[in-house]
Amino acid sequence: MRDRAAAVALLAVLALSGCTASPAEVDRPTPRTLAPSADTGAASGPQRPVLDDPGSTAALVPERIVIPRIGVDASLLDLARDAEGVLAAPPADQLQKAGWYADGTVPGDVGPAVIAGHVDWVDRVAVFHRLGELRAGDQVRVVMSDRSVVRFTVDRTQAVPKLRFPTGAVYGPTPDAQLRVITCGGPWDDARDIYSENVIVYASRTA
Amino acid sequence: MPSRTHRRLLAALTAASALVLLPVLPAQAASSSSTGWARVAHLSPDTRQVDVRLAPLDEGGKVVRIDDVAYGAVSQYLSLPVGEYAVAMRPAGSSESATPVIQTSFSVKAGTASTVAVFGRNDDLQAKVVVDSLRQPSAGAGRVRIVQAATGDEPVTVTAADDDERTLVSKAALGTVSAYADVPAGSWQLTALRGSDAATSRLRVGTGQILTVFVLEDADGGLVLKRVLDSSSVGDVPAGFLATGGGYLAHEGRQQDLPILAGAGGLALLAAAGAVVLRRRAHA
Repeated sequence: MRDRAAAVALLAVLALSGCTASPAEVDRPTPRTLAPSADTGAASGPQRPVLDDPGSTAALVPERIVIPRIGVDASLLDLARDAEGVLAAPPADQLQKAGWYADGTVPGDVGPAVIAGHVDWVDRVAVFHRLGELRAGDQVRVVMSDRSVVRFTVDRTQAVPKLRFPTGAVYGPTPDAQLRVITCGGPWDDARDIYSENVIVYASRTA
Repeated sequence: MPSRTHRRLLAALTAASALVLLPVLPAQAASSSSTGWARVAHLSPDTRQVDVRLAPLDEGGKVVRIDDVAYGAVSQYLSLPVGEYAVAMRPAGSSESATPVIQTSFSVKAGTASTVAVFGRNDDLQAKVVVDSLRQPSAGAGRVRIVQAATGDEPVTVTAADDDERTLVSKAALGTVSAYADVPAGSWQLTALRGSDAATSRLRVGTGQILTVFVLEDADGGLVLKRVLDSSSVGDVPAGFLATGGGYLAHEGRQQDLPILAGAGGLALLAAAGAVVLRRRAHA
């Protein structure tokens, strides 16, 4: 009954659109086989599947980080974890450089690439002293070893107490290419002799 | 009647519980609380390339298109506003008024990733929406699952061998999506068996990587395995926080030069600092 109604409706549409259809065609049960425009997408037979695996950006490494909004254009050192597993900051004699966690994600690959730098030292400001000014929509560029540029857009900036560092959000799995830029902030913690917070910028690769 | 000490204790406990109730930070990476991720997989061996249209059911939402998705292709993830979406797949190049080859709907949830997959032979297409893991794999491990998209009546078993051998999915019918399994990072020998038909493939599993292996068919109907990276963590996850300051800005009375921190945390700290100052003044 419903098939018949559909067939009648389709016949009306075909008549209006000026298409001609033989009654034999209209009598078929489903609109899918009825309408000449309803392409089922069927191939002529089984097809060979697409098997490409884009993989990683080969042997590229990041060399500079550029953040126009806060006047950063700094070269990058390699950072590693120390014996306790803590990500070591750039050395005190390299305060105007930032560091890339080199055992982690390459910027532009799927996952969170991590770049960290000092906000200051005991007697001067350092590379990321204005990092906390970044807001959603600000641009961050990473220049790679082949001079190509990977562009990121800031999603958000977060200040967190160091004792509640959001390990999962910073280092955990992401399904696209992301960037974290990290420094210190908040009030000085006299008891521990460190800044009490980390400032974390979350950015995603610009589509 | 509570003593003074008791009252102090009570106050301390209240303060402690207030601390515990501070906002809980998200356990997994999310670029935003208002977006999630979705991708599309074309797994029907005898269906031509399709154009995929993702239309938000919310009025005014932006329609997203992924064009020319061929058999075996798994699109990149798209970052999408949370909400309900209608998905329609049409033969590549056809108009948006053409009858879809298949359609379904799904919801994008904040900070989560899903795959909209279309399985089966063209005359019996099925759509399935699966949620993709974004949880950190255990230390030194990656995470793997199998999506069984080989058509035909015989089920497929997939094993992974390294020093030991494990079964990733057993006697899986078309459309089966296995649970994820954490496996030590390294290079695994994958074997897929369907009756007397077998396919083998090397599977690289990086630390912190989450992978899906799709069981497909070549043009002769033989089994083929395809590795797709779903997501990746940083790999070996650093411990704790970063020490990236020496205190100059804090100690030189230059607190105003420090990054201006938005959010409730910053405001609460400012308020707390203000309260301390006021109390000190009151005592002076």
